[in-house]
Amino acid sequence: MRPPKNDFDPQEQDFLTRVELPSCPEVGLLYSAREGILPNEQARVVTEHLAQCEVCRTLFADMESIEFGTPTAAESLNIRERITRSAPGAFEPTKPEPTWIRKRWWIPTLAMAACAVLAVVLLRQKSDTPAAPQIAQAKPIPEIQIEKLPIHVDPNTLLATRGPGDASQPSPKELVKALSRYQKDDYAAAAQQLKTLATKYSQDGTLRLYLGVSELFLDQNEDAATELLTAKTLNDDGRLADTNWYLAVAELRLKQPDKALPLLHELCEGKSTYSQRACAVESSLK
Amino acid sequence: MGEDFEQVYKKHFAAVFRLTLRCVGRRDIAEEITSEAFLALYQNFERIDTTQLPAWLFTVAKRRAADYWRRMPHEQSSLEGMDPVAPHREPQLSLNDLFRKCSSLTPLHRVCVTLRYVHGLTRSEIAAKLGLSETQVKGHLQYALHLLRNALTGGKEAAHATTEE
Repeated sequence: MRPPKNDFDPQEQDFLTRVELPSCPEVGLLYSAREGILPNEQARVVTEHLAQCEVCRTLFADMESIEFGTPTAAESLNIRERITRSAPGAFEPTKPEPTWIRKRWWIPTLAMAACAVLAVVLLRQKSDTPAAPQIAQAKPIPEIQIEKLPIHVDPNTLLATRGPGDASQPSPKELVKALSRYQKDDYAAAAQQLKTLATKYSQDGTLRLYLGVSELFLDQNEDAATELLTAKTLNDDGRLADTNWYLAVAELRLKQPDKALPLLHELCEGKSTYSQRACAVESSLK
Repeated sequence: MGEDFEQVYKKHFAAVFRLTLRCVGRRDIAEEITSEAFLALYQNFERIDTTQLPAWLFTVAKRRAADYWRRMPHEQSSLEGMDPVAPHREPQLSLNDLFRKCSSLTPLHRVCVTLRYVHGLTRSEIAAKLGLSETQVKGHLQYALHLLRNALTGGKEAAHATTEE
């Protein structure tokens, strides 16, 4: 909150004497409270104010609906200059490869020469020794683009579906807080909060499932595999397909197709949203 | 082939700036935080999967915004004195009642009015915050004030009609 500047003209002064105006925190504080970046006490005061103050709520909604905050050309230039001052090479184009590498004329030539040598060696061996068993070539592991696992339970209805919370599962408030980060694609914050909750409520499979998915988005694949494996032992049939799919993705990222294949097979045989994709990945691995 | 730093920067810098500006409310600070977030990205560029963007950048920017509020002198970030029902002299209607009466006011009009009369910003500060010219802000305020004063008096004081340019 800041004191109003006294530069009002007579019409404005007249208006100010006739209208009831609230005393409100800075707009930035309202946004910061919503983004969860204020210290708890400050956030509580701002949130309570927002709940009571219709003017702030209108301002908040109006500011969301207007084009606001696009950087001007001068601001864009300033940001770029600030970065360049600290990291002079940031916007320099990547050095092109030398011509002899870029043109790569030597690759087919070298390959042909290698083939010729190999053919000569094989022909010689064929005449002397029985044919060696063919070594099965390992299939390349497909790269799977993961999609965000939707939150199947509306955070607003958690209270109704999960009850008030007990020692074995988080309270709706705790879960909503953690999942709201996930919902906003803030996986780092979501993972942090979910990890804290998963330590506290070690038997809750849902927490570990969303923690594992968040870690996959953060490319923390080993951690993701560990969490999802635990989730698999905790989750009931309702979440098993989700758990199996994301665990299979984690195993594939860790170059462990042998661990992924049984999961994919189970999904392929079953009836879930993952069945078709699982069959395709499974067949590409075989 | 993956995107290089410049491509990533061009793709996300405006969104990072917008988010930061909303959180800190000052364009100069938003500039500073946006550049810091991209510097952090540049320093970790080899290790970061670009599919995690812009979420990773948003997280860095929000942490910096949190630092900004933490560093802010107490009197500026203080919430003391906030009272949504604090009355002014001889009040007739609350601002929101007036907004409801003036249905032709757009969100932009209401934002200008609230920033000016509730938050006490000057016209040039509003212009800077919203990325408008001072003349535009002046026009929006004149138009809005005309409608609001009419709503207060039931149109009796509409001496001269001010139209928006």
